[in-house]
Amino acid sequence: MSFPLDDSQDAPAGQAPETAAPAPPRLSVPPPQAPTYAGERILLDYKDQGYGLYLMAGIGGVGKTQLLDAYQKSRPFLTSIRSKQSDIRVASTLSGSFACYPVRAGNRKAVFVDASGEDFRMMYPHQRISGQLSDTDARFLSLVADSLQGLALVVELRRLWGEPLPGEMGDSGNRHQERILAWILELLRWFRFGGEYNPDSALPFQDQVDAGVQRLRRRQRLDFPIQVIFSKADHLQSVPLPPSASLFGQVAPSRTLFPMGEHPLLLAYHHLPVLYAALKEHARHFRFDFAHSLVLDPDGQSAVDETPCGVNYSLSWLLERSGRLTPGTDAWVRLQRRIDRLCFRGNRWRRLPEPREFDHG
Amino acid sequence: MAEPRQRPPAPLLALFPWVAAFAVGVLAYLVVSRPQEHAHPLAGALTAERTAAEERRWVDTAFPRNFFPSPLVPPPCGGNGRDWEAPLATAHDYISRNNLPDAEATLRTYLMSGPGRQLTQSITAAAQESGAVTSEPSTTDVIGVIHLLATSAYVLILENGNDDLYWLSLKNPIGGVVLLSRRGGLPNAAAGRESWALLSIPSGCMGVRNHLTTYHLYNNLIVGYLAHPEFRDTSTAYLAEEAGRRRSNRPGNPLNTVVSTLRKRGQSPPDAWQRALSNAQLILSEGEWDRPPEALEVASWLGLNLAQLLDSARVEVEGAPRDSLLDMRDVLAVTVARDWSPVAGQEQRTAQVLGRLLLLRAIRRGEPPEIPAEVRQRLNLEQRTTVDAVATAVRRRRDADTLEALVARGAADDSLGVADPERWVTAARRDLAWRFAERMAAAAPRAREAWARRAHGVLAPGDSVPTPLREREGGLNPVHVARRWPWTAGLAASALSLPFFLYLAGLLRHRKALWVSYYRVELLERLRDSA
Repeated sequence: MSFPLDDSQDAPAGQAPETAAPAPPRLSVPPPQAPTYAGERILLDYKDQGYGLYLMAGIGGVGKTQLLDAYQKSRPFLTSIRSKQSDIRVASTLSGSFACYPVRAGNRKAVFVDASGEDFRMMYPHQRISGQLSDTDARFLSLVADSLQGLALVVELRRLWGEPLPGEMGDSGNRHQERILAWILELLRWFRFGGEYNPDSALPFQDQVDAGVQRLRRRQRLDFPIQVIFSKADHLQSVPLPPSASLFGQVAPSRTLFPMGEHPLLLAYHHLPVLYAALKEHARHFRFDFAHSLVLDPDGQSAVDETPCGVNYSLSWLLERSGRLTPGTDAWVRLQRRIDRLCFRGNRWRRLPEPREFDHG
Repeated sequence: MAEPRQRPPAPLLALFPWVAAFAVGVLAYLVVSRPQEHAHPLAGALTAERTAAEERRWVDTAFPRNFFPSPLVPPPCGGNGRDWEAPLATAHDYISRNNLPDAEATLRTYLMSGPGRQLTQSITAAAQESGAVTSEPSTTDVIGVIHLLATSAYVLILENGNDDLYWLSLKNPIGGVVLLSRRGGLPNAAAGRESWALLSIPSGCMGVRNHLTTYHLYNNLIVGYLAHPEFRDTSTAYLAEEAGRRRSNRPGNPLNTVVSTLRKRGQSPPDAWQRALSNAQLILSEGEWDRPPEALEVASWLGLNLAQLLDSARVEVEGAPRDSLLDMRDVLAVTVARDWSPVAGQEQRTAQVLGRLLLLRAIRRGEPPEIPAEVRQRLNLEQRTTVDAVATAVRRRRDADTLEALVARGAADDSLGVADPERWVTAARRDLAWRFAERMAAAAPRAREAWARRAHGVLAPGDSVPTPLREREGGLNPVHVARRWPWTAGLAASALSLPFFLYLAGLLRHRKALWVSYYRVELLERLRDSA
């Protein structure tokens, strides 16, 4: 894999680009002392040219880049505005950098921003050795928060619920994905509604964010669509459901996941309570779905099917901007619960129902 | 490479807004085009100015207006060889043989150049008490000259004269009557009445009931004026005379208001017509006109002339004075019809004039015309058709609710049998709209909308909106426009509801996106494609 060409032209360490790039518009966001992310200037160019930003978020290795690569197969990316390169290739993103992938969304232009999963993980204070987060550590989110028009939260359920993967060292954040993403949602909300770090305050940065978000009103929630993608769905079929809480303590899982028959929203409602509560608290429009970008053999060495599934529709839903005048997801859920109660289907809100059959014959 | 779909196909959801908007349009069409049940029937005849005016136009087109000179009466007896006896007898002889030119020549010779000229001048001088009297004329001569002049007036009116003899023959006999009255020679003037209208001039003949009266003289004067509308009044004292005459008028005289209105207004109507009207007012100042209609007696020629004159004056006044005029006109017409006695030698004209007046009465009262058979049989085809058309139209008007259904269809009523029935339908539509609007204004607030809807239901594009309706609504009411053109209501309902249904479909699509698993959908699609 190689770095995206756009990144190579945005020399982070003072290296001059090989070709003379057009003068970027005046930069207003990065303070002089702030660290410069690789790809930051190209991101600012896209912002200045009116591109809507769509952020892919998730810890490292959950498949954000692969999802974008899969999406590119059905919807080729636009020509890069910096390099004029038409065949942008999707590549892994290193820590301290992010890549931009422009697409056409109807009559609008949009750009998917793929940041390093390590950066997302390290934004969660408990993942840091110091346990503290500074405003400069979260500066990456402040760059995109004001222009963000969609957010894809990628969760790998197998790593969230399963045993440590072979070769996994230390706390890679796998089992904290929910909390990390919830914290990112809170940070985005704080930045979007004018949150500013006060260095004179005695409170640390994360406490200032908490306090600031608590002061926000209910209608000051993230108004762009948020798509939660349970990635690598091809590997989820054998993953047992986590124990769920009850009056009698933790109840052991009774079954394993069956992605093609599960109801994604109900799954999140019952088994991703932290993430679901964070979405309900900080966002208006969100949905859940499974996806895989390719199917690997049981050894995970080679692809047996390179056709992605669940990617195109899910990312297209992000680009639709159809939820501006519609009730939020929480309102729909409340309505559906009332309807289900009347239709004697209220039980599915008490425990996850059995998956639907997948009879394609 | 085909553009990939951005969302799972949902054909029913995509079709739903258009089908729903179309259904709403059809529903709106059915609702607004359904027959309206009226909770408040008019239940009665339509008092309709515009419709009546249109019906009157038919009558005015088909029927002529004719004024009749006073018929001749036998010459007076006891002339004892006076020099006026021979020309009077000769003129009567010519007239009886329908030789009007020789009768005129005979009278003109005597009255303008013969001894009759001096006699006439002396009578005029004596009547005016001007002091220029050389020899006082005898009462017999005065009576003889009055007859001569009345005969001359009769001939000249029929011959369409307009010279000195014409006006002398019309005006001077009344001067002779003044002189006779002053001398006490008029039997029915002894009651001390100030009016000169109804006085019988004694003829001296035994057993003759057909006397010359001042009605004859005034009638000729009226007809004479009306025959020459170009007549211009040069008398400055005329209006003063009219003012003085009012003192002797009976209160119920329908022409009092008309004459006083004209006097205040000045010169707008023709002088001849004003003079005719003034003399008619004099006739109608007699107490006999106070009799109830059934006891009234009037000669055909006088009744028809007065009725036509009253009808011509209707445009000068409004309200109660106008009703009084038209009441009197109708009474005269009915009286003449009851005592049918056509003017001698002018039976058809009499019938036509009477037929016209009876039709006008029917139009005004909204009742079917009652035309006597002897009158109807003297009408021509066009006039009989008009009688039938008026009868049909009035019958239609009597049932306003049925009429509303008729005009709401907007079709011309060919059954009327007139050349342009659509004009009548249009007039009826406007009358109905006005009546509904008036009912609306007087109705309780709850019922106003129903009346307004009915008014709009009969109005057509371009029709002026009745004032009460305009004041209530201040402009176009889309509900009523919709009721008028249901298909526009359907289109508008579809167009207006489409955004809502598109939004609703968007909502449903949004909800569906929350509940569906795109992963499952894509898997199924792929399997379907591979199969």
